[in-house]
Amino acid sequence: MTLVLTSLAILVAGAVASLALGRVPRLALRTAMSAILASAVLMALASGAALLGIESQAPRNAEWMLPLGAVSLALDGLSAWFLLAISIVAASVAIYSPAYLRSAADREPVAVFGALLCALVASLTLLVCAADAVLFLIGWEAMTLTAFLLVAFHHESPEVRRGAWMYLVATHIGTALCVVPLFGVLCALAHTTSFSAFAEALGVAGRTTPVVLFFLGLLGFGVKAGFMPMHVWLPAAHPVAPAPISAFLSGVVVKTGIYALLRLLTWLPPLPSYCGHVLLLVGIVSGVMGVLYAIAQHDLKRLLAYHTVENIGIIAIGIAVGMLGQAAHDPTVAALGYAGALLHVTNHALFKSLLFLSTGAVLNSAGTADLERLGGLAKKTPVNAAMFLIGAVAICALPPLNGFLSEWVIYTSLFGSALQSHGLSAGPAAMGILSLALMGGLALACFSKAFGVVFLGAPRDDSVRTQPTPAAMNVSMMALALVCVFIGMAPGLWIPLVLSATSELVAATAADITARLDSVLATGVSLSMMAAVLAGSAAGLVLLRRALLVRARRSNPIAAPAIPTWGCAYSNPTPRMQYTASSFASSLMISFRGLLWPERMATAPAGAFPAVTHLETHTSDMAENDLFQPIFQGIARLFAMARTVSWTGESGPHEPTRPQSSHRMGPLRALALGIVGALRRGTIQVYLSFIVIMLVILFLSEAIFSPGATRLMTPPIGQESTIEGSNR
Amino acid sequence: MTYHPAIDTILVLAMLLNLSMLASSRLATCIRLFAFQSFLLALLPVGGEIAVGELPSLHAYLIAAAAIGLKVILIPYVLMRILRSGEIHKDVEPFIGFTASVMIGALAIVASFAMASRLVLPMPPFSDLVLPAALSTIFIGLLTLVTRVTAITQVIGYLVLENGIFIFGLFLLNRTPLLVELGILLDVFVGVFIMAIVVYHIRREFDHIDTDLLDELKEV
Amino acid sequence: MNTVWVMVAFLEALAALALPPLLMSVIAKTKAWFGGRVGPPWLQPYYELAKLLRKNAVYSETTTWVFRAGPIISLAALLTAAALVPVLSNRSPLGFPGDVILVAYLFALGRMFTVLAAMDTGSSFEGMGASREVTFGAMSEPALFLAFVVLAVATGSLQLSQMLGPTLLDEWQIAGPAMVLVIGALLVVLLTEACRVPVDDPATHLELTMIHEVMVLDHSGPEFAYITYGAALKFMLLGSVLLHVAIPHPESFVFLDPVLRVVELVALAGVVGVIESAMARLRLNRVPLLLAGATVLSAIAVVIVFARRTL
Repeated sequence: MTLVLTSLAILVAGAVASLALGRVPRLALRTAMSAILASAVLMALASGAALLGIESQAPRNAEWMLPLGAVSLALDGLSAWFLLAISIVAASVAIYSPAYLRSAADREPVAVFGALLCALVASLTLLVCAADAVLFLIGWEAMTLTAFLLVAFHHESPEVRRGAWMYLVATHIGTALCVVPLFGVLCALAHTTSFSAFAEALGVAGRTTPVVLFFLGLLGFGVKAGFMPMHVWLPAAHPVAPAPISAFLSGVVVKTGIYALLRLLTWLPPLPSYCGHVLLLVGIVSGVMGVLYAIAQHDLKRLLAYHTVENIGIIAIGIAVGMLGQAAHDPTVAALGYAGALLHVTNHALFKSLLFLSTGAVLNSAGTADLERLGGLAKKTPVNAAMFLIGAVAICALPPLNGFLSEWVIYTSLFGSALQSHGLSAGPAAMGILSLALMGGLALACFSKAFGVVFLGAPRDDSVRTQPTPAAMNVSMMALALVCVFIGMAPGLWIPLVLSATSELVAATAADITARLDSVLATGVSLSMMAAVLAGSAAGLVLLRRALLVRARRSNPIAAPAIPTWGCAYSNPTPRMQYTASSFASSLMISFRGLLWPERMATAPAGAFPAVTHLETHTSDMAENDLFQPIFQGIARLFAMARTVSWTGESGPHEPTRPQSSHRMGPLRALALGIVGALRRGTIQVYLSFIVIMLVILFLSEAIFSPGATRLMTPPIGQESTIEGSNR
Repeated sequence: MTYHPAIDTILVLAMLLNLSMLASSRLATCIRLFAFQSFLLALLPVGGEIAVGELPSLHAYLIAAAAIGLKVILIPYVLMRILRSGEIHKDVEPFIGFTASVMIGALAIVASFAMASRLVLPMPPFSDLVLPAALSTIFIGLLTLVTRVTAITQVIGYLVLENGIFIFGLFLLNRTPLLVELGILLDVFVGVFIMAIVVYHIRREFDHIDTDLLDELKEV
Repeated sequence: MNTVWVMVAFLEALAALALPPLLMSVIAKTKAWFGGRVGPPWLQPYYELAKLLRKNAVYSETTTWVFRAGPIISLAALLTAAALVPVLSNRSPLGFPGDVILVAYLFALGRMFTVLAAMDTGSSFEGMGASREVTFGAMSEPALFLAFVVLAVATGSLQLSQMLGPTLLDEWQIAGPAMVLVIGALLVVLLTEACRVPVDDPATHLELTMIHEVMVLDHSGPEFAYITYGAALKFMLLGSVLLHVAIPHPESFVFLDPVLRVVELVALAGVVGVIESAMARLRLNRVPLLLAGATVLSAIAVVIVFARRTL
């Protein structure tokens, strides 16, 4: 705890020093970044000590009392786990930022950037360590505001302002409508603002209150976490922020929503299973739609932002399995689910910040993140290419990197849930497995596209000039990549760290959790062994290839010429004929057009010698265009009507909406129009569909309200004897 | 209630045939698949009684014979003749895509299992797959009725729906008088017969049997 | 006793690793018979591998180290998976609980590096193949995992060697239809992942219609040998999973097991050859329907198994 307080002090000092040194921007930035680096090391030590159970976890209360609440900080397993993620990301960003902002230092207020980043890290630390509702909300708001200012760092461009405002508005709507009422109810129930009293107060609060609180938390914290459909701010804010800030947003800020949800779950008694099912559904929708939207993107940073939505979905699936396990009184499944979710929190923080930093390096060297213009960067910036590849393999959950570990634990928990549930109640777990598998395949498609288009092949646009990546950037990325590889290769050393955080969630001792997850812990060794087998066979194949090639060259000493790629008998291929990002994604876009509704504007080539043709595809966000935009336009119209005194002139930070969204026919609108049109015309099918809908409703009501149990589905006792040999 | 492999196979095949009807793009294939499904289901009255360890009754044989005569031979023959006779489109024209229909059909099957596990029945059926198979066949028949454009696919949807009711009726095999069963079969036959005549005449008059375009008649 | 078992396992592994090219040969022979030809010699795939291993490699000037790493990592991933999948017996050398997920993701790792190597050439045709590979790969994944759910529920285990063990004999008694559906789904997955007809036609001559073959156009020498062998190995591994589900051997088979499994694998290759001879490749836009169908098959199997389970 002392370490955390020290690092907070260092961060404040760093921020002040950075502002004081505003005249010498480079020095100011370096000072701030050194402060972040120093405090990150201290925080990592503190969280490591807490996770290994070396330091006591009792809350530290300060004398100074706030008007409401108290300054009370605690570092339990859950806080320490998130603090660990914060410290790793903060350290890498601190090494990375000076090099990234080197060219900007003369024009832009980088001293302010340094101070704000210090403040952001400090508020994040405060947030995860707070043991008091008021202090938590102060940290929450401070984080939101500093992150907003940092996103708006390049505020000259309207796109940046739009993204930053969307972030601020979205997260404040969530805070005002859900988070504050949530803590209001909690404090009212417990008659105190201290976290330690909440669990007890909720234990006697009846059955409905915890459920209501859970849904308030799901909505309020879900905005921050980016659950679909509350994710709309992510793809708006991430691409416009400076790369280190995108890494911070995606790696850590988004995770505070998960942290808050998990913290809420530690207070709530085990919830009925439908809460878990709702969260599972949210996770599945976020995951599948997130990765589908990611594939559709043309901008690397937007692609990564949508991919964050997918990974948040995976984390939500893990948490949902944890809740289902608790509802079914199965602590093993619950522990597995929560452990998988927590592992994925840090793993995603690691590889997603690696990917965002690598994208920053792409921006730095090529000046654009437009997938249609990039290409062949692996030759110009080989280290950065390797780093992006490591991040891509990790995020696709491929062995032997860290992403596989957490998805493996979540899969295990889902399989465990499916095996432990009675009859058809295992269905949701099977759905989770199905969607996780689909997400894995789609993520692979997405990152094959991202890496392949940006780094491989030949440059697509001659106007893109590339410069080498500065060494400091490479060093910070290498550090992250090293941690990714380490966790993937030696999971046996990493999984024990998550146990104390898991024990907070399933209300068991760390020793109990260790006993329950015995098989998983033992598997850590197996996974390391398989990683070694993989590395060993790869090494063997490399050596074999080398030996064979040496022998072949000895027998035929004429060196093979470097020749162009075989163009399938086309003699003069140019780089512009390469498969582009859009064409790579198109077969998936066509298959999933029912979910994505991509727009396609094309002029078909005409005549024997077509002069100008044109093809444009655009996939806009359904939640943004069909859900929130109509709502907010309606509200705006309402206010416009209510406004009696019209104030002419610039009305605040209002950006014009993008033109293509106004006449775009989204799926919801198309469905509504289709129904109305069909009703007006009165086709046979519509009349029939009314009958069908009525029938389905009748059946459902019969199925739901009838007292019938699963009697018909369970075979008679006599059957048991014939299958005694099996494990059921 | 035992797991009789033959009964299991027939019922699961019936469910799969539903899905293949949703997936097939040719009307002729749809008709053949329907005939095959009807044939499999016609085996059930007899097979069901054998499965529960009884000697098959005359009642069951009669039902089976009537079902084979009508739904396996006569109705498919009539439909195929309509298909061959004219210049009508031989392709299925769906409102929603084939993959999407198959997915919805699969959802219907899963939902049928979920519903079947909760419904309370007067007596246990001879296989736990009977109820899900019946419900999903009914739903997929309705789905075909709702989502397909041409009149002939609607006839097929109607017939599939009837197959679902047929499976459902097997529950009550020993309770229902033979006359009622035969009455239902006769109803179906008359229904299809009338529809076939109507379809034939629509084609004669308007050169196509696309019900989606028929609504133009109404406003005149 | 222990040393004997290690010896047996070692011999089994050697035999399993030597087998894949023969299966390719069986497919080629079957297709030749159907076409009224004699076909290439039985050992032709081995000759081709030996020839490729002796050759020098030619590289396009567009490519980078990723292109060279592609075949190596793909084959390494498949070899690692081979250590987990029971092929000629019910044992797997390095199996552990949960290895079934690792196997699926090792296949994915191999796929990713094959795709990246294809994209490294900058050829539009290879990009086309890569795009199709990831699309169909993503769509076959749910079918495979739902089949795993069925096997896990049937055997109560997450270890591949147990999920494909003799316990499945009981499941055939209880939920036979579900097992048949799983076999159907696994067959589609096998044909997709191994790039056979009706998803992909390895014998086609037009790059526009290929999937796997077009991705490896630029590889040569030992690396192309790795790819050819890897494709055959993948076919054998997925085929073994299918066969263990279709024909579970009881424990008492121990010594007869490997011989029978080889015969079954050869028969499976023959069946695939018959499928290739009897039907044409599907239109590309019908393939998603096939894969969705496979997913539906395993989903229905899952529902049946869940509904029939006693607890």
